[in-house]
Order: sequence, then C-alpha cells, then structure tokens
Amino acid sequence: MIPLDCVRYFWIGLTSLVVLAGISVPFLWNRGASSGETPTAVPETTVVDAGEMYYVMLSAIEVAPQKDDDGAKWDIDGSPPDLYFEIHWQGHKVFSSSTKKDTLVARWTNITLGVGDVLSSGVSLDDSIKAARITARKGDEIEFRVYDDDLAGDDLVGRFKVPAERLRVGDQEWTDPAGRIVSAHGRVLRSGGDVKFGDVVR
Amino acid sequence: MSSADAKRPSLAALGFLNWCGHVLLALGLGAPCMIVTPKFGAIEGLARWLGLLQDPETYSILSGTWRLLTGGQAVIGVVLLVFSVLFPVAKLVALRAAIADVRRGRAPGPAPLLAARFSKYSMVDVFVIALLVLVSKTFPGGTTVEVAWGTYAFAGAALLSVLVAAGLSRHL
Repeated sequence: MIPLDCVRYFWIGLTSLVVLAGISVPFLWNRGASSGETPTAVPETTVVDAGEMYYVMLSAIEVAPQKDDDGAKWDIDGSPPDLYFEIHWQGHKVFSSSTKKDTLVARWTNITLGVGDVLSSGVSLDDSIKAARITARKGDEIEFRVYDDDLAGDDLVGRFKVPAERLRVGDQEWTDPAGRIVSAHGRVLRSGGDVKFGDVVR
Repeated sequence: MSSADAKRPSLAALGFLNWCGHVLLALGLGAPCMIVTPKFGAIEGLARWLGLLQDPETYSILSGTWRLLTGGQAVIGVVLLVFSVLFPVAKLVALRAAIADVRRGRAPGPAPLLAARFSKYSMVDVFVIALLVLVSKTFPGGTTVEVAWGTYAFAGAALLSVLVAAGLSRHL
C-alpha cells in the first residue's frame, strides 16, 4: 500500500506543476503562433490586390530542344538559343531581361548590386531589383515574351498573357504557356513591402 | 503568544508567498527573458536586406532549453533544464510540502533540507543572462542582448523562495 505521505506529496507536486504549466504554456503557445522564428520567407499564395504595386519577374524559363516541330536548330551552329524575355503591360514594354547565352533552361536572379551599393550606407532597393513594376488592376494583362537573341534578328520563342487578377504573390509556374516555351517560373513581390534579398533570389 | 511567535511570519503568509513564487516562476520560464538584436554597424540596412541579419529574436528559458535540446546541444540543454527548470520547481514544491507538514503539526521531513539544497542553484539563469548582457557589449557590429521581463520574474521567484525558506526555518 502506498504510504499516505507519498500520495500527499504527489498531489502537492502535481498541483504545483499544473499551476506552473497553466501560466507558462500560453506564453509559449502565443510566441509560437505569432513570432517569426523562421527567417526563411514562405512564398505567399494570395492573389494580388487591385490597385497595389508589385514587382513581376520571370526567374526561369525552359524552352523546347528544337526551334519548331520539324526539328530545326535554334542557331546555325547547332547551339541552344540565347534567351531573354520582355514584360509588357498596358501596351508598353516595361522590362527587358539580360540575355542568357546557349541554354535551353535560363535562370535570372533579378537583382544586381553594384560595388558602390555595397560600400555605401544605403542601397536603393528599387534600382537593385530587376523586374517589371506594375500596378495590379482588374482587366489588365501582363504579357511575357521570350526571344532567342540572334544577330540576324531575334526569334520569338513564345508569348503569353496572364490576367493581373490571376497573378499570385510569390512563386508561380506556367507549363506549356505558349510557342516553344516548355515552362516559365514567375515571381511576384509587393513593391514597397519588406522585400529582402532572399525573396528575390530563392 | 511569545515574542518569537510574533516575529516569525505566519504559515498562511508563507503559503501565499510560495504561491506567488509559483506564478513568478511560471512567468519567468515562459515569458521572454532575453532579446538578441543582431546589428551590422554602419551597413546594417544592407546586411538586413541581403538576409545576412536575422530579425531580433526573443528567448524564454523554456524555448531556449527546447532549442538546445532539439538543436544538437543536448548536454547544455539538459544542464539548463535541470538547473533552470527542475531545481526551481522542485524547490517550490519542497517548500509547499514543508509548509503543509508544519501546518499539520508534523515534522517537515526532508523537504526543508531539499529546498535549502536547491536554493543554491536558483539564480544560475539570472547570472548567466546578466553575464551575456555584459559580454554583448563587445559583440561586433553593435549586436545587443537585452534583458526582458521574464528574467525579472524568474529572479523574483528565486528571491521569494529564499524568503519563504528563511521564514519557514523559524517555524522549525
């Protein structure tokens, strides 16, 4: 038979623990729910808000191995295409990317930092991010055009439009969007928000 | 009532203080005790934007202990768990048991002795945090460690337990 003292001490200990846990656990619960413990940004998946400004960029494009269904080569020497893309909005070309040479899968980091930026005490975020800046409006369309940069004239690889209301903040992928484009990875970030380097380069 | 009786605190008061110690200890364990703010000197803005600096982070004793235990620092985590969590809790429980025994007119048993032993280690955490604050003055880039209110609650709990133990010893 368990001595009465042990039972009494057990209850004393248990009630103390219950009181301690009852007061301290909500702090931990609340901290876990609201704190930003993980520094890695999680891509949002919300649709863009009408009237808000955003950065729109393509971070990667993959194109078909041949220029057309007949199996023509991209370049005369048989090398892969030299890819770049443009973003058009409201009838204007609002962004043109750098050219990635001789590749079927092109990737852009969408950000550049000059030596002066690094050494100076301030960095112009707006100048550093290489992306189209748009204001999302209902009925607007964002057009992406992908080209093969050739000496004799650039070849259009494919072009596709995305309605502004279908853009989502964060990463999105379009599969077989148009022409010889196999897939395109886009990224949309809120302009003027707490955009970090890691949001642009992921 | 003798003058000795008049001077020593009542058991009810000691019991109340002990429960206050419970509350303060719970707050001290769960509430923020330390805020670490990384800085990078003159180019802090760039470093933060580049993701080289994390946001300021708060730690509680329990969350810090959990991080150590799950982050590959099990030995230190266990040490922290024992001296910062288990010993203070055990001391409060031992004091409660001793007060209960004395109230019943019984010999308090090993509880006061245990409480006295545990009390040596009650303030370890507070000293460690104070040391961190001092050392943080030399952190590069101006990184700071600030004491948060959980530390004061923890220290309050430790001091209360010392008071209760001292008051209880007059009844023994």
